[in-house]
Amino acid sequence: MEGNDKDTLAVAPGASTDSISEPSSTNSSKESVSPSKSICSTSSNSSGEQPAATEPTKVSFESSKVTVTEEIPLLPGEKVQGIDENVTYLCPYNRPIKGTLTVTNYKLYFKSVERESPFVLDVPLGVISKIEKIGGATSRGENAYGIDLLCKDMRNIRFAHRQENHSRRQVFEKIQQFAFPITNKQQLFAFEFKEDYGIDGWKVYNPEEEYKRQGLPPESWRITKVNEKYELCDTYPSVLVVPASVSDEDLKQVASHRSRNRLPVLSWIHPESQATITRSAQPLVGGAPLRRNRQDEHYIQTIMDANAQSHKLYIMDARPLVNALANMAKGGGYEREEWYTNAEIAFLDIHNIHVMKDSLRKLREVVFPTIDDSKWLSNIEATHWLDHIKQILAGALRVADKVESAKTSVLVHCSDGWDRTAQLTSLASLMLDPYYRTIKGFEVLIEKEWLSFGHKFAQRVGHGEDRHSDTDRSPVFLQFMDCVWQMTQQFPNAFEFNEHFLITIIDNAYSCLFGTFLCNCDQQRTEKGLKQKTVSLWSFVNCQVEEFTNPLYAATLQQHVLFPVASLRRIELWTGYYCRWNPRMRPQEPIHLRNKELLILKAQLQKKVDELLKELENKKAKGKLASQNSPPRISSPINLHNGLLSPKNM
Amino acid sequence: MTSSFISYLSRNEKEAGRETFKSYVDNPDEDENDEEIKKRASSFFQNDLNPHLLPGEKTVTEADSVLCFVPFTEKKQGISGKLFITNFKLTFLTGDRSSYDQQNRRQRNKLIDDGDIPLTNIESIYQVVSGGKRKKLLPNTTVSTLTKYLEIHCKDFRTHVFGFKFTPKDQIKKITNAVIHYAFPSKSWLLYAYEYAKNLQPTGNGTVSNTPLYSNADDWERELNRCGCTKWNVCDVNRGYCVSQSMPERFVLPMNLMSYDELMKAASQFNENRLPAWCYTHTNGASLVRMAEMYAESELADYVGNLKTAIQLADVNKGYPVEMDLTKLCPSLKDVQASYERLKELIFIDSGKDFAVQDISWFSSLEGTKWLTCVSQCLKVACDAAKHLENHTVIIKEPDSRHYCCLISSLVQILLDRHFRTRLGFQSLIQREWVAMGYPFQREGCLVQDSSKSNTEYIPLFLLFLDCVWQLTQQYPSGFAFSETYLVTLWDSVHMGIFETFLFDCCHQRSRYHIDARWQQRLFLPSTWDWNVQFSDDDQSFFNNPLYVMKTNPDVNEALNKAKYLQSSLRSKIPTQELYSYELQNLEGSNLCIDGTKSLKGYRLTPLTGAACMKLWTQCYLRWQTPAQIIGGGNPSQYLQQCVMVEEILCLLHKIEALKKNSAKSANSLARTRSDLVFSMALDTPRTTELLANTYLSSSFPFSSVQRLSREEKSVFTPISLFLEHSTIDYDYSNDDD
Repeated sequence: MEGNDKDTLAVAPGASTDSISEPSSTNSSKESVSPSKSICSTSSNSSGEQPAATEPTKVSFESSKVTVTEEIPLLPGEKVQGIDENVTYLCPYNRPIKGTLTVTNYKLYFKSVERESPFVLDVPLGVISKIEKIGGATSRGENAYGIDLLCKDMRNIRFAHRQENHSRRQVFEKIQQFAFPITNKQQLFAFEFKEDYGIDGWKVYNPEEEYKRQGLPPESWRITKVNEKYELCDTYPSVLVVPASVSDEDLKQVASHRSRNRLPVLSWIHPESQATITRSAQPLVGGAPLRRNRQDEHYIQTIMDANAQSHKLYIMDARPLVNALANMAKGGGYEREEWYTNAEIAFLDIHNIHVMKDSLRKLREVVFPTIDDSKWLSNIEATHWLDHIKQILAGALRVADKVESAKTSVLVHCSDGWDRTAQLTSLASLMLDPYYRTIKGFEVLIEKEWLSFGHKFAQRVGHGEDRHSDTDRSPVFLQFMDCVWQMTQQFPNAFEFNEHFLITIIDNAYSCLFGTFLCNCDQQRTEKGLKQKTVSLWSFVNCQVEEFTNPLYAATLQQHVLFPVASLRRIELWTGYYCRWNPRMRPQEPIHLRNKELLILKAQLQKKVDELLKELENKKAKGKLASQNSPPRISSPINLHNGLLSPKNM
Repeated sequence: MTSSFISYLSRNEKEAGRETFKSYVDNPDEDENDEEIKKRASSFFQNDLNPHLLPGEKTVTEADSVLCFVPFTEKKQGISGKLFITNFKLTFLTGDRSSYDQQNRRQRNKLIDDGDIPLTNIESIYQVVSGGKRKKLLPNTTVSTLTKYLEIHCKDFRTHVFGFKFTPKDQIKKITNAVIHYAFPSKSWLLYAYEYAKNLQPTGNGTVSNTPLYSNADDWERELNRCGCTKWNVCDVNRGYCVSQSMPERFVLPMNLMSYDELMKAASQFNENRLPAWCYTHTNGASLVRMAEMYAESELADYVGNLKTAIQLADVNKGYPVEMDLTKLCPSLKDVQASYERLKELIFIDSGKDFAVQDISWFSSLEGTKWLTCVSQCLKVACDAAKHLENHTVIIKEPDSRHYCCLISSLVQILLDRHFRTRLGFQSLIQREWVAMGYPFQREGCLVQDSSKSNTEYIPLFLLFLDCVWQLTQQYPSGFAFSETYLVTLWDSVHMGIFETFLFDCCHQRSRYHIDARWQQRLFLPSTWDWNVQFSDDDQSFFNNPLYVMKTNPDVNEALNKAKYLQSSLRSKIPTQELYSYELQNLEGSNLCIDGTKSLKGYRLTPLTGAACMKLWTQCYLRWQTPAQIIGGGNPSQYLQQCVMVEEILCLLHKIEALKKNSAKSANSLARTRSDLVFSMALDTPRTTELLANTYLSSSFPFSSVQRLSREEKSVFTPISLFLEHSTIDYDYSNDDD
C-alpha cells in the first residue's frame, strides 16, 4: 500500500494539469465514502444522449459505490465529497468532452472515457481563486449553463451542466465549501493530509546551521536569540544575525526606527571579502520635523565596519524614488545620506505589489486561453511583465555586483521588507552562492529569505479564502521564481534543479496540500503547529530528487558568481509555466528528456562497468591470472586528462 | 597567417603594445597637449606591420595610426594600428599584444584573422565626419570630406568602427575611397576570386569534400536512386545551356517524356525557359516539382499540357498534382527585404546607450521587423507542401522558380527525409536546390554593384532559409546532425568571397568563369563544402550535434533502449511533461504530430509554425552585441555539457567492450574510435590544449571572445577545459598491443 500511495502521489501534487494519465486503479484505498455525500443522483444519467462509453462508470456506480472511488486516486486524508456523472468539460483547445466530475476535500477530478485514451483533469481546489455560475435556468444554446473556475495558475476551467437535473448547485456549493475552507471556518486540507515520505522536510532548514555554513566571523557577527518569542519583531524569525558589537538592548532601539520593527539583519556574507547583504524595512523618517535615530545610524555604520574591505555601504531601496518619497508622508521614507555618512543610497525602481498584480492580470489575458500569433510579442510587451522581471533581475545584479566586484556591503529594503526585499536578497544570494543553486540549497533559500523573514504567503496567495479581488494578493513569489527560471535559462548547467522543480514549488504554494507555504510568518506557523500537524513540501521533493534534477548540472564548472544579462534580448516569457495549458506552445521534442536520457544512460553504463570490473577482479583472484594479464589501463583514465588539463599545469 | 603574426611580435619584443591609445582619448586636456600626444602616439604606433596575403592578393592602400574601437565602449576604448585595404579584405593590424591574445578565444578561420573583413562580407559603410554627421557611402561614389569615423556593417552582423584622429589626412581620403571602390566592385571579374583562382596552386582539381556538386549526371542519378525514384530520369536537353541559361546542364524530368525538340518548344513557354524540374520523390511515389511562370501563348500550349500530363503520370498514384503558388503563399521578396532592413536596425548598434534604449521596446521592435513572421510563414508553407506530398505530387510555382522554389523545396525535403538532416545531405541539398538550380547568389548578395542596374538591394533569402532550419533544430534538438554553430558558420562562409559555391548566379555563369578565355586556363575555386580550407578539425568538431550522435550511434542507441526499459518503472512517475504528448494526439483539428521521437522515426517533422513559437536566432544575430553576452552561460554551455556526456557514454561503452574482451582472455585492449565531438579532440597537441584552456565560455561561443567589461574578476570567466574537470572521458585512442 505504501508503494502505491507513492506512485499516485508523485503525480498528484506536481500535476495540477490536464493530463491524460493511466487510471491508477491500483489505489487500494481506504475510507469508504458515505453515499449521502454524493451530489449526484443516479437518475441524472437516464438521458439517452449519454455516450455508450460512459456506461461502465454508470453501471459500476450503481452496483457498488466503492468502485467509483477506486477509480479516483485519493490521497491519505482525502475524501470524496460529491460526484456528478453528467458534466461537460469545455476545454479551450479541444471540443467539449463529457465525463464524471468528482469533488473531494482536496481536488476536482474530471474523467472522461469518451475517447480512446481516458481524459483526466486533476485540479487541487487550492488553485481556485474564484468560482462563478455561467448562464441561468433560461439559458439557451449548448453548454451555456455551468460553472467557471478562475485559477491562480493562469487558467480558467469551465464545466457545462445540464439544466434539467439541477446538479450545478450542488457542485458549486461543494467547490465553494472546500476551495475556500478559511472563509467557511474550516481547516485547510494540509491539516488532514497524512503521508509519510520517509524524509522529514521540516528539517531541511536550520538557521544556525545555515549561518555556520556561511562562515560567520565571530568577531564581527553574532547570532542572537532576542527574538526567540517574537517580541522584538513579530514577522521576523526567532534566530537573527546582527553585528557582534551591538547589544540586544540597542537592537530594540534600532527596531523602533524601522517599519514594523524590521531592523537590518544579516542575510548573506561573502566567504572571502566578508562583504554582506543585510535586509530590513524602511526607516521611519517621515513626519515634521523628519525623525532621526542615532542608534540606527550607528548600527548602519557598524554593519559597514564589519567589512574591512570597504569604507562604504550601499543602501539599495527597491522602490522607485517617488514611492519612497510618498512613504515619507506616511511616516516612512529612506536613509538620508547626510545622516548616514559613508552610505550611498540607490533606488532600484521596482514597482509595488499592486502594479505587479495588474501586470499579471494583463499577461493572463494574453496567454490564456488562445494566443494571437500576429501580435504575440507586442502583447507581451504591453503587459510589462517582463519589464518587471528585468527590473528585479537588474536590481539583484546590482546588489551582487557591489558585493562581489566592489567588495562592499549592501543593505536592501523596500517599504516593509517582505516582498521586493525578499526578491532581491534571495536572487542576489543565488547569483553569489553556488550552494543555493542545489536542490537542498534552494529549499534553504526559500525557507530563509521568504518563509522565515515573513513574506506573507497566506495573504499574497490568499490560501483558502474567497476574496478574489483582495488587494493584498500579488504574484511576488511567482515573479521571484520567474527570475530564477530566467537564470536557469541563461546558465543551463549552473543549477542542480530543473524546470519541473520550479513549477512544482509554485503549484504547491497554491495547492494547500503541504504546510510549507501556509501562514504569513514564523510566529503564526509556530502557533498553528504546522511542523507537527502538516507535511512539508520538501519531504515530497526530497524523497524523489531525481525527478527534479537537471541532467546538465555541472557542479564543478559553475562554482563562480553568475551575472545574468538583464536585457530583454535575453529574457523570455516562461511559456513552460504561463502557457503550459496550451498544447500548441509545447516543445515538439522536449530537450530535457534528451538530456535526461543521457544522464540515465551514463549512470547505467557506469554501473555496468563497475560490475564488470568487479567480476574481473574476482576472476583474477580465483584463477590467479594476474601474472599474465596486466590490469586494463583504462582503469584510471581520470588522472590522464587531469594531469594534462588541470589549471595549474596550463 | 598566425605564424606571420607571431614572427612580427617576436621582432618587437619590447612589448610596446601593452599601452593602448585609451590614455590619449580619455585625456581631457587633449587639445592643449596635441603635440605631446602626437609624439607619444607616433612612438607607440607601429610602422612595419604587413598584412598576410592570400595568393593573388595585393595591398591597395594603407593608413597609419588608425584606431579600432572596442564595441559598446562609446568609442572610448580600443587599440591602435594600421588599416590596410587589399583586393580581398580590409585588415587591421596592431602591435598591441593584448589583441593577439584574444585570437585564441574563438573559432579561427585559416584564411582570415580576427581583424580581417573580406570585402564581400561588407554590407554597408557609414562615414562620420567631424561634427558628427553620419552618412551611408554608396557604391560608385567618391568622397571628398574628411572621415572621422568609418563604420563598417558586415553581413555576419558585426560592426567595425575605425577612427582616424591620428591618421595623416591624405591617407584618410585615400582609404575611404578605396573601401567604397573595392567593397562594391562594378563588374564581376573585379571580384578577388578571379585573382585568387589564377594564383592558386593547383593542389588537386575539384573538391575534396564528398558533397555532390550536381554538375554531372552521376550525382543526379545517385539522388534518384536514393529516393527509389523510377519514373523520372536525368536529361541533358540543356547541354551547353542551349535551352535555359539559368538552369544546370542536367536536371531531372519525367521518364521518356518528349523529344528534345518538343521539350525546347515547351521550355519557351516558361520564364527564362526554365522547364519544370524534379526536386524529390517521396517513398509513396509522389514527387515535388519546381516550376516557373508560363507565358500565355496558345499555339504551343499543347507542349506544356503534355509536360504536365507527364508529371502527373510520373506519380505512381496518378493523382492530379497539387499546385502551390509560392508568390501568393510566401511573403513577397520586397517584404523580406524590408523586414531584413528593420532587423538590421536592431542588430547594427555600437553604443551602450542605443542598446538600453532599444531594450525598452525590444519585443515590439522585434515584432515590427516581421522577420519572425516571415520565418513562420515559410515554415508553414513547407509544412503544408510536405503534408500534400503524402498523397499527391506537388508543384511549387514562382515567376522565375529561382527564389522561394529553392527555399521551400529544401525545407520540404528536410521535413520529409532524415538524410537531409545530416551534414552531407544538407550540403548536397543546398548544392542541388540552390546552387545548381540557379539561385542568384551574386545578384541577390549584391556582390557586384553594377551602376547600370537599379537592383542593389540585398535579398536575404538564404538567411531566411537558414533561420527556418535553425528553428527546426531548436524544435527537434536531436533531429539534426549539425549544430547551430554549423549553420552560423555556413552563413559566414557565404560571404568569404572565394568559394565557387556562393559566388555565382547560375551554373552557366560559373562555367563561363571556369574557362575564361582571357586567362587561357581552367580555373578552380574551392567549394565551401571543403571545410578544411577554412577550419581545423578542432574547430569543425563544433559543427556536430552530440544528441544526434547519441541517437544514431548504434551502440549508444542499443544501450539507450536497454536503459529506457530499465527505467520504465521510473518513467511512469514523471507526471506532467511526459504526458503532454499524449494529450496532444487527442487534439482535434490539429494536424500537429507531437511525439518528437515518433515523428523522427516516421521521418516527417511537423514543427510548430505559429509566429509565437518562432525564436530569435540569437547566436547568429546577437553574437557581437557585447552587452547581451552571457558570460559563462548561454546555449553553448548546454551544448558543451551534452558533448561531455555523450563522450563519457562512448567511453563507458568502449570500456565495457574492452572489459568483456579482457574477461574472455583477449590480451589486446581495444582502441577507441574517435567521435567527432569536441572533447574527443587530441589533447596532446598544444593547439588543442591551448584552445580549451583559453577559450572562455559565453553565449557567443565560439564566435566572439569574451570582452572584458567592468568586471575584471577572473572567476567569472570559465575556460571550456573546465568541462572536463570531473569527467570520465578516456583518451586511449592508440591501439595498444602490449
